[in-house]
Amino acid sequence: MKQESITVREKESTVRIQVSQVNALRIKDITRKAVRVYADHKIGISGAEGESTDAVLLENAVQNLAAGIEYPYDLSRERKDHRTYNHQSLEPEELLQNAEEILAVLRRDYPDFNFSEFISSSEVHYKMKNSEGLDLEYKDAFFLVNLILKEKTTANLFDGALICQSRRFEPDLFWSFNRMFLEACRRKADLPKNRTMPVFTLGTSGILSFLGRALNGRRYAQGSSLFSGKLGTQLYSEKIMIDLNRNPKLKAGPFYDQGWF
Amino acid sequence: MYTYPPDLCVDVRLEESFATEISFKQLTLRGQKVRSKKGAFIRVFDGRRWYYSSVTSLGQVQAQIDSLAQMAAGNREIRKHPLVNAFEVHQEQKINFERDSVAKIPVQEKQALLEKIINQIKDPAIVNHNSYYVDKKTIRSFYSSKGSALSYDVQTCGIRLNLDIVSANQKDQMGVSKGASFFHDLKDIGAYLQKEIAKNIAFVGQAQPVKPGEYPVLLSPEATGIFTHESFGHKSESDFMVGDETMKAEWAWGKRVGAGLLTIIDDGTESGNGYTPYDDEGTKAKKTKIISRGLLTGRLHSAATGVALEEDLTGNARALNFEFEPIVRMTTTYIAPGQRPLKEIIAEMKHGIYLDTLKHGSGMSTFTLAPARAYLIENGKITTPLKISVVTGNVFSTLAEVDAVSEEFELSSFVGGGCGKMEQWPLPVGFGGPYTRVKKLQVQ
Repeated sequence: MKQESITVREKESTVRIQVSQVNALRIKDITRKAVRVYADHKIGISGAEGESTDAVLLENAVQNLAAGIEYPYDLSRERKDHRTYNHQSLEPEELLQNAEEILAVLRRDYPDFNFSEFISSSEVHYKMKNSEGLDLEYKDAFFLVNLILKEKTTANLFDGALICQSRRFEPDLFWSFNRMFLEACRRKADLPKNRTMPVFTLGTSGILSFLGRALNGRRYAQGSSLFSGKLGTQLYSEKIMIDLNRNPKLKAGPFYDQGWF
Repeated sequence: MYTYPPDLCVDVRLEESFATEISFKQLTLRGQKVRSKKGAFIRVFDGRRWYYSSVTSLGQVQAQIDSLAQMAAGNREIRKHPLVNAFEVHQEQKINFERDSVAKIPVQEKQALLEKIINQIKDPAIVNHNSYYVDKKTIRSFYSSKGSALSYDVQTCGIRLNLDIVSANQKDQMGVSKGASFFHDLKDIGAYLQKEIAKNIAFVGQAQPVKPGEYPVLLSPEATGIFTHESFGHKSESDFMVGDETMKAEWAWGKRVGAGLLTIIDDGTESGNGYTPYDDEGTKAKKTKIISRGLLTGRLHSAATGVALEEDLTGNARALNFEFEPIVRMTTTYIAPGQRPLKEIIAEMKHGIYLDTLKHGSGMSTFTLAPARAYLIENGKITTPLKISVVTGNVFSTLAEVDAVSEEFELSSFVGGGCGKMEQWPLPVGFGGPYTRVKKLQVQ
């Protein structure tokens, strides 16, 4: 019987903000564990958050083999790869100080808005090992400024959001876009009367989510995808390029959960 | 149970959950997960600021209390602080699901139920389907330095089928779901699911594009529930009002915000997805009338917002799980039933639209509903299936446009999805209501 284990430890400090003031400081230390066992081209799995011993997880995974879930694939094997993408982490007190500095500028320069939500620092340590010599680890850290803004004179729940995610805490990066955004919020224009008009947006997640579902291989093959039977057909402008890219410099996680890069 | 620093206010929330997820792709078993989770959320308040810690090691709770206390500033007057005064103190064990716990049912029995249902999916129009059985039982315990000692459980289970349908050269993805509090309540849901599947197949094959415009719209109990949640429920969460004079003026009690036949309630004691006998800071659940006969009469509170706005607590401080602090959230929110039969309401509609099921909804001042199944109403009858991408309206003008509410009433029961608010998603909430007619909504 072959065995595989995944352990993910996530540590996070978050400064909670309400009406442009620090409201709370939150600290997290969360460990998640999973065990997989393989025998006779079948897979058994188990997982837990919290205090669960490796022996219990292994026992549960072995029991789960009885479900008979097919897994006719080779395991990733004989590879050791340990990576650290970001050494920077901030102590909670340092994060709090940085957050206070950002909020002081927002209160001074943009008193016509209220800002709420959070500024956080997250660290992740991901370990994956198996009985076939696989030994993968990566460590990473992220900073996220995620503030909703509300104009003091409106009765809306909120009127926009300031978001900046980066591997290093970079206030300049935050200000470079969000100052423009806040200034623009002060100069609203009426929509033209045209029924349709060009739209520029950075928010492509909805479209990509739709494409992700529509380009699912099973759906494509079974004819339920809007793109079924249209491979190689020019459907959109030549200017549109969509890549699947797991470059760790761009996004967290250099390898898939089966251990492949 | 824990040693609390004398000059700080402290509470500890422990969560222990059991969950099952069984998944099939077509008729092939793809996953059979049984999971356990344990964790704790600790809060320390010094009168000026909160300090939180979330850990998966329950043995660390006392150490975390002590560590957070080091960061906080000791306050000898902490017990006189208005927020600390406002926290309710209860000692109770309210365990409802021990005897019929989903954790006691063998996973093979759950799998057999799902297999029985998916073996009945035979219509060739369903070219692909993914099917799920899920359950979750959580025991929450709450302890506070004021003396609370609570323990209660919540439980849900259900089946969801995601279907790829190709019918009459039309394609769509549709879902059907049924949830319950007890496993034994799922055993006879096969007929209901089959009926819903048949409706979906007929809809995909026959639906015609809607002519965009303004229509009278009849909402089903499910659509009424999502409409209520999105259009008004979020606006009644009072954390958006704290420190905001414009919102306070806009939301003054007694203000007319809807038609006279409209009463909207939030009730954490209602069984189902939104059931929570205590909220996550130990406040007992209450039935809150947010709108009574069209007038604003209440809003949803945590202890902090209740104190800030000088109003009573409502038991709506809820956290997604032990990783998060409680914030103001809905529980089970619904429009109260009216006194008119549905038949009569439909019969008087010459030309309108019936929203049967929804894919999703969202809302702030303007709300949007994305229908799954919708139909034309002509001369008092529900007729042609319609493809509608979105139904939208302004919250306040729409509430004033409600002109009929049925005596028929239903709370939705389903699995999958939930309510999202900032980083905490998906929180289980309940919704539903009567059939509700709105005089005019934008449809496209």
